[in-house]
Amino acid sequence: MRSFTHWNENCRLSRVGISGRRFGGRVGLLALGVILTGAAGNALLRLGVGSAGPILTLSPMAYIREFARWSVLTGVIVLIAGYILQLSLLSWADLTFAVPVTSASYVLIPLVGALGLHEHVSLAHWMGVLLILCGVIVVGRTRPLTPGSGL
Amino acid sequence: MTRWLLVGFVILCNAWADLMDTAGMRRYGKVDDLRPGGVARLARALSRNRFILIGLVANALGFFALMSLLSVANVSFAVPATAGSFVLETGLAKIFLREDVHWQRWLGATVIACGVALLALP
Repeated sequence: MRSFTHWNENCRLSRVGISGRRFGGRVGLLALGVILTGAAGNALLRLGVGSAGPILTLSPMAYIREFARWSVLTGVIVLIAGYILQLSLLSWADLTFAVPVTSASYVLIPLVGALGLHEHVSLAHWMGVLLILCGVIVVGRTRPLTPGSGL
Repeated sequence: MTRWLLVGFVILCNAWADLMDTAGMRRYGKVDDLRPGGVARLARALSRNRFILIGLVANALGFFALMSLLSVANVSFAVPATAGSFVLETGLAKIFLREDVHWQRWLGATVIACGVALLALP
């Protein structure tokens, strides 16, 4: 009886276009794109604005001037590409699925910080990375798109 | 102090932007063409979508605040610290988007938030 109910539920979900259990294929590729562009874009931004000194002003010109730096401009372009991928991902998956899963980029950021930008990454930071990976695995095992999503 | 104010502002902007983006994409439908022509059509359609436009404004404000934050903090602190929006976004999605938030998602979001908190340690 339980297996029949489960089968019936799967048929109903596939009829209404709800993505199947666990992510992979299109959703997985989009998530991977968001993760990689997020990590690369933020690292490039840091590379550019980190050498500029503090930017703590409400004047837009101070920010616009930073765009003359190649690393800031490249970072912005990469982040815009990531934004398009994220919008695509949100059309296929719940917000409560997409945001935690794409947080895997936080695992890459300490790696980029440590290896690329020579920043110090402590043991607590690596423990944080491990926890994030565990959380991503837990969320990744849920169905990407659930019925009843909408505003 | 300035760092944490910026972190709080980025979190609020990100949470609001993600909520609006998701609402906008629910109205648009599924995106299945990411070739240049498809992306141009998507951009044209989304430029008339008020949810996406509000999300863009929130994203822009969050982005400039993130630039300020990156100018005074390491990337390995700044970006994970601003991810504290997970639990906030899960709650907002449950209330406003009426997403079916399974206990596994709450658990995952909480574990990730703990990991992010560790990453934000000095």
